[in-house]
This record gives sequence, C-alpha cells and structure tokens, in this order.
Amino acid sequence: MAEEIFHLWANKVPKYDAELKSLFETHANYGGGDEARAIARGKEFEVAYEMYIYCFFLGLYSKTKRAIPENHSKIDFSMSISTWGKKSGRRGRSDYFEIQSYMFMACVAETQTNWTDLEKGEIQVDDVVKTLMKTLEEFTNGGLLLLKEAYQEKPNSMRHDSSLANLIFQAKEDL
Amino acid sequence: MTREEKVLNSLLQHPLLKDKYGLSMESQVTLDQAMNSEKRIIKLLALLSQKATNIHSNKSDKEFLREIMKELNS
Amino acid sequence: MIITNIHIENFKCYAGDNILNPGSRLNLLVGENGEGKTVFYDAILWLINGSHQQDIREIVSAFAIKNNTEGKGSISVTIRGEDADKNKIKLSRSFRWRETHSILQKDSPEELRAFLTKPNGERQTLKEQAAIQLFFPPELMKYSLFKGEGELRILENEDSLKNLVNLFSDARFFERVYDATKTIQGALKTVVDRSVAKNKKAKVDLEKLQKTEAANGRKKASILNKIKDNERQRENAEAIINDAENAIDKAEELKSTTDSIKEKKEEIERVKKIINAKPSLTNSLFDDLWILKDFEPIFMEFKSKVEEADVARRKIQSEFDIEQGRKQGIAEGISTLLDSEDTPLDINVPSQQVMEELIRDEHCKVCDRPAPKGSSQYEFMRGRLEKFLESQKPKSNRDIEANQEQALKHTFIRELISFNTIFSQKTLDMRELGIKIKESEKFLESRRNDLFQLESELDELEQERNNIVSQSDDSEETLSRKLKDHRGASNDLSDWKDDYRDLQGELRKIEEDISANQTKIDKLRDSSAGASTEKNNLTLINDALKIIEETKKKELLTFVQKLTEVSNDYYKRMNFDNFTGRISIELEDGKGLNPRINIFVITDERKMKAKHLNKSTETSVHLSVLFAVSKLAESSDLFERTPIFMDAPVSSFGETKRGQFLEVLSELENQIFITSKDYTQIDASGKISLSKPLNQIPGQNKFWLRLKRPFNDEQLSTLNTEIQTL
Repeated sequence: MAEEIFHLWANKVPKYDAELKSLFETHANYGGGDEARAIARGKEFEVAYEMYIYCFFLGLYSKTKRAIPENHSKIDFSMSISTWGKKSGRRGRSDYFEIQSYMFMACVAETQTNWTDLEKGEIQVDDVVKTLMKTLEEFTNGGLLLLKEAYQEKPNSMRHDSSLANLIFQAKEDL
Repeated sequence: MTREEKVLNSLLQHPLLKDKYGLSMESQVTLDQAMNSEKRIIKLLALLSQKATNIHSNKSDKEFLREIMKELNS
Repeated sequence: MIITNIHIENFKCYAGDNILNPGSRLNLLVGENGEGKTVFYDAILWLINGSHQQDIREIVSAFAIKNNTEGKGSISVTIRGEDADKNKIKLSRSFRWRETHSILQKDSPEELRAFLTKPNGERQTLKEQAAIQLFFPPELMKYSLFKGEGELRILENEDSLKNLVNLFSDARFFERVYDATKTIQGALKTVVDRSVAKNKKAKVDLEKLQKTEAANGRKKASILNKIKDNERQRENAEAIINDAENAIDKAEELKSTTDSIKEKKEEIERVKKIINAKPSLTNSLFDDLWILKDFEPIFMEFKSKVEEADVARRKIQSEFDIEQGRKQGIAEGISTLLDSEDTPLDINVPSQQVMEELIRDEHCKVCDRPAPKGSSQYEFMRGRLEKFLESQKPKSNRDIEANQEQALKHTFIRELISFNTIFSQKTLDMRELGIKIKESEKFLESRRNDLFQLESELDELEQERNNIVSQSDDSEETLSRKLKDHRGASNDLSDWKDDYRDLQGELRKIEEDISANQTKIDKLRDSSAGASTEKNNLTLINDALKIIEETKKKELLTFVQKLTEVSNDYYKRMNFDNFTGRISIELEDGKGLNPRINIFVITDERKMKAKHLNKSTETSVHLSVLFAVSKLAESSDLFERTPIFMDAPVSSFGETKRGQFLEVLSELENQIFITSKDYTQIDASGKISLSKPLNQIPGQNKFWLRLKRPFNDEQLSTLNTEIQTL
C-alpha cells in the first residue's frame, strides 16, 4: 500500500522551544499517570503532549503563529504524534486519532503547499512533511507564549477548574 | 382623674352601696366631693382610698387610724 | 422614650465609629451569622450593665488594638433618645485603653455618664441609674430585652406574671386599702368586744365564740397549709411530667434532626456524584473533543485547499487519460466524450452499483433526466461503466508495461480527500458543541451552587443538633429514669388532684363555719348594750372591707381579661390564616387575694398550657402577651413607651410566619430593634448579598450588619463589622 502522508507526518516527534521547558514542567504531569496523580501534583495536564496539543489549538484559534527563534535549542518528549493518546487500559487503538487527524488537517490548511507538484513527484514528500511540522511547531509555540502570558499576568483567573477551557474558547473572540 | 379618685370610683360601683345603703352613683365623684359627703360609707371609702394610694404618706398607721376614727365619729 | 442614635466605638467586632440612626418604629437588622448582630445586642447590654467580670480583651475590639498606631484608644457605647416632653437624653458608657508590651489595660476608669437637655437648652447631669431607667425601667427590662427565643419563656414563671399584674393593674392599690381597713376593723372589734364583755353572760358566750373563731382560724390555716403542700406536690409532679415530656420532645427533636441530617447528607452525595461524573473541563477538551469547538473555519480552509488540489489532479489525470486513450485507439464515441472540456469525475464515481442502476432504470438520477436506450446520455453512462470494468480487469504484463507511465506518481491528494469526506459530517456536528458546552457549564455551575446551599443547610442542622444535645444533658439512663418517673408522677398527680378537691371542700366548709360563727359574734355584739358608736362603725368597716375585697377581685379579673383581649389581638395578627386557637389568661380559683395566673391556648375546645405547644406557637403566644404588656404599660401612665430589643426571636418560624410577624411588629407603635439572619445569603465564593429585594424586606428602617472583607474568622484582629443603612 502506498505510504500515506498522514502517517509520515504522525510518525514525527514535534519539538518545542527549550526555553519553555519550565512551563511544561509546571503544568504537565510527566512520568505517566492519571488524573488523580496529576491533581495530586497540582498539574493541569495529565501528560505533556496534552499540553502540546492544547497550545497548538490555542495558537491556531488565536492566529498566533510564532517561529521558534533560530538561536534557541529545540527539545521534545520523545513521543511521536501517532503515540499520543494511547492510554493503557483503554481501547486498543490510539484514542487521539481524531485529534491527530484534526491537527493534521489544520497543518494542511495553514501551510502553503503545491499538492499537484507533490503528486507528480516534482517535490519530495519529506519536505512537505517538514513544512507541515514547522506549521505545527510554530502555532504551538504561539500558544505556549500565550499560556505563559496568561499565567504571569492574570494568575487569579487561571486558578479555576474552567480556566484553561475558558482561555481557549476566548481565543477566537480576542482576535 | 387622680389615682385615688379612680380607686374610689371603682369602689363606689359595688352593688352593696345600692342594696344596703340605697346609694346609686351615676357620675364620677371627685375626692373632695366624697370627703364632704353626708354618707359615712362614702366618706370612709374616700379616706381609705387616700391612704392606700398615697405611698409617700408621712402618716403612720396609728395616726391614720385616729384620723379615720375621728371622721367616723364626727 | 425613643432612641434616636446608637453609637458603638471599638466594642468587640465593631472597630472604629459605628453609627446607627434608628426610626421610631420597626428597625430590622439583617446579616449573616457571626457578623455582628448578637454583638450589637451585647453592646446595649454592656451599656446597661457594664463590664462586670468580663476581661478587657473580650470587650475591646482586637482590630482597633492591632491597627492603632499609638497603642491606645477608647471604647464606648452611646445612645441618645428623646422623651415625650421633648427632653434629649444622652447615655454613654466608656473607658480609655492602652496596650503596652502586649498587655492591654484600662487607661481610665469605666464610667457611665448621662445628660438631659431640656427643650429650652438647659442641660443637667443625670444619675447613672436614673438615666438607664429612663430608657429601660427595671420593672420592664425583663420585657424589653431578649436574646434568642428561649428568653421569651420568662412569662412561664408565675411570679413574673404576678409582677406584671401588680405593675399595671389597679388591683395592687386595693390590696393596700384592704390592709388599712383590716387594721381599723381589728381596732374596732377590740373596742366593741370590750363593751360586750361588760355583760357576764355575753362575755362567756363571746369568749366561747371567740375560742371557736380561733379554733376555726387555726383549722383554716392548717387547711390552707395542706392546700399549699398539695400545690407544691402537684407542681413537682407536673414538673417531672413536663421534664419527661421535654426529654421525650428533645429525643424526638433530636431524632427528627438526625433524620434530616441523614437526608441532607444523602442529597449532598447525590449532587456530588452528579458533579464528579462530569469530567474536569480539561479532560472534556480532549475526551469530548471540546477543543474542536472553533475548528470549523479551519476545516473549511482545509476543504477548499483539498478540493482545489483535487480539481487540479483530476485535470492532469484526465489529460493523461485522453492522451493514453488516443494512443490506444479507443472508439470514437467514447473518445469524444473524453474530449469534453470539463474535468471528468474519477472513473469510480458514481460507484459501479449506482451506474448499473442508472442504466437499468434508463434515468440519470443525479440530474433527474430520462436516459432512454439509444440516447447519448444512455451511451455516456454505459461507456463509463465499461471503462470502469476495464480498469478493474487484471492487467497482463504487457499492459502493465504499457501502462508503466502514470499521470501522477502519488496518491496523497486522494488521501486528503478521504479526510475531507470522513470529517465533513463530523465538523458539522461541531457547531452544536458550543451550545452543549455552555449548557454543561451552566448545569455544573448550578449544581455547585446547590451543593454549597446544601452544605450550609447541613451546617445549620448540625449546629441545631449540637444545641439540642448540649441543652439536654440526658444520657440514655437519665432518659429512661425520667420516663419511669413520668409514670409515677402521673399517677400521683391524679391522686393529688383528688386530694385538692377534698381540701377545697374542707376549706369551703370551714369558711362557712367561720362565717356562721362570725354572724353569731356580730349578733352578740349588736345585741349588747353600749358602744353603739363603735358598733355602727364596725358595721361600716365590715361593709367597706367587703366592698374592697370584692372590687379588688373584680379589678384583677378585668385586667386579666383586658390582657387576654389585647394579647389575642396581637396573636391573631401574627398567625393570620393559620388558626392556632386563642390565648386565655386565667386566674386560678380559691387562692384568696393572690390567685395564680396561667396562660393557656384554646384550640377546638382543648385547653393546653403554652409551654406544651410546639415552639413557634409558644413563641407567638409569648410575644403576643409581651406586646400586650407593652401596650398596657403605656396606657397605665406609669411608663413611657420603652424600646424593645430582640435578638433573633423568631428563628423557629417559617418564612411566611416570620414575614407576618414582622408585619405585625412594623404596625406597632413601639420602637423595636430586631435582628434576623433570614434576609441575607452567602454564595459559594463567599460573596454575601440580600436574599430579597429591598422593598420586600419589612420594617421602616433596615440595616445590614456585616464584616468588612477580607477577614479570617479565626483571627479576631481581622474582624470589623460595618453598619450599612439600607
């Protein structure tokens, strides 16, 4: 079967700005676990990739695309997109397949690509995937910066159970 | 109407006054009227009312008794 | 006396200057529990009674001490009033305090100062007690200051009612008259008897009669003592019965409260379950895909890009096919079709099944036009189907080789199209998400408020239970003993009631004997010679005595009837629609000049003592009698109207009854101060507000007593109540 561009994209490990590592450490529960453990540790996100996904959509909806500065190093959490969402004890296939698909569609929508050239083989699929990933990383970066700002400038409004949801729902309005 | 007069007039409403003494009190009496009444029972009741309600009375019981007796015997 | 101003400075939780300007009728003070209502009442009590044994730290505001830079200050409670003669009176208790090295001490002696200013401006100092009495006459203080519903029970105390009678009815004057007359009678009797004694026979007879009189007197005294004993025994028995009944009531109350608590807890669990069943919002973002709420425009962009790419692809593919077709020399007809300018659809669209149906039915169902056999449309459709079937055949190696050349190298676009197809419908569903999310939030919010409400109701119930438990220190053992005693006492009581009847009979008999003997004595006295003046006087005095005694009884009865009438007037207004009988204040027979006074409630021809009724009825009875007292006090000319202070007197009333009660109060002409926790509320975030619009809260003047936020209820120094005039 011909390779699918979706799988090529999903097998990548997305990166983020190393300078924002502390943000992940503060709000995401590393080392696996569940809601109870995340709550016990005071983290809003059960896993790091959840936060990544959240920030991607936050940047996407608020149209905040920010390139990671050249001189900053990039790091990741060693999990390819396709592994995101697998929760032990739940149904076998990746539970975030839908979300992954939507993320993929968003990347396609927000990236300039000459698809016919790709079909004809005049450009390489790997390059296209690279540009899609760049879109992913830049929107995520934008979202991370927005999130950081929210925690710094309006810490009180971020204390509620519904704060994160409200932030992302407001993203479109605040344009 | 002073307190003494109020007490006196209540007393004067008693049926005994009518039945035995043939007195009918139609209107209110003042203390003075009662003290000067010809009817001894009325006079007596007036004196007694005055004594009882006059809490700051300087008279002792003995004095008062004498006074009443004098009135009654006059 | 009307209070025109109350000023509380640095007293307990009232830091700084707190001023309340009351109206001349109902003043309602509302506020949440623990925010200053009872302390307001305490301030008035402190003004009247002083500090006594209280520690200075219990009185001076901790907030003021903490925030005072100089480490010293003053504390005072002042009331100003005006009487019927338009004199202005100021009454103030105060002292100065100082804190050095964490030790708080008085910097000046505590003193009560009072001034009276006449209308003409003349000012005079009043003596402490005199001033207090102007506002709160001691006789009436019991009836003017109440802390909580329990204190209203003073009327159950027999003495207090008797005191009332003595205060306000004229009956007490008759008693004095009676006493004076009796003295005279005694003196006259002595004189007359002396003259009787001059006759030897008469003397003997008189002595005999006097002996009998004395013996009768003793007998009567002994009977009266027995009656007194009997009464005491009956009271004891009734007290035991009452005690047992109260214990049973308490046990029932306790059970009912415990049941309510259980129910409340179950309800709380139910609501918690509902709230917890909802995943956290953050989880919903991912698990319920709420994160995709605003995705539609992005999908639209994806869709348009993909469709654009698809059109381009098909164009390329079709050009290629045409070229290939030409190379392979396919029939003219089809070739013509393939020559059309329009970019054709993929060969598998529509599907084979659909194509076969269209052909079979000779009808293009896409544009709803007939395509009869032989028409160009029919041929077109048939050609497409053939082409499709052709493409499905396994190709021979030669064919494969020949077809080695492809239009396009990849099928990524087709992959994107499948995304488009699959997610098109889903994206439409996203529109409803916005609504779902809002509803879910609203639902949760109101469940959370419900939970908070339930939890504070639970707190109140538990508080109530603690109160009940602490009020009765009855262990199981005590309770069962009380129940046993109850049985014994009930039996004894009926025996004693029988005895009482017998004793009453004896009393009547002896009184008859006394009367008969007296007649004999009188006859003897009359028939004796001499002392005619004294005899006449004695007759007169005897008559006077009779008149006085009977008039007094009448007065007493009249007063009690009046009291009953006025009490019922208030009682009816307080109960409005709910018929709870009528009050009957009665004199108990046979107690001579000082009969016992009892309060009953008569319902459906059943008569019950007020204290045996349910709490809210009992309270309304007591309040009715109290207001009646106040009205009668005023009309007795003995006292000016006094202000009445009540701290939460109607917590046992339901909302409607409370409303009616307050309506009655606001119609009274007395100046009344009432506190209530029922017109404010507090929500989950700690924000307080009025629970009713202002115009629905009764009272001519309303005030809100509340602690300044933020505060920590475990730290006294953060407590600072402010008085807000509504």
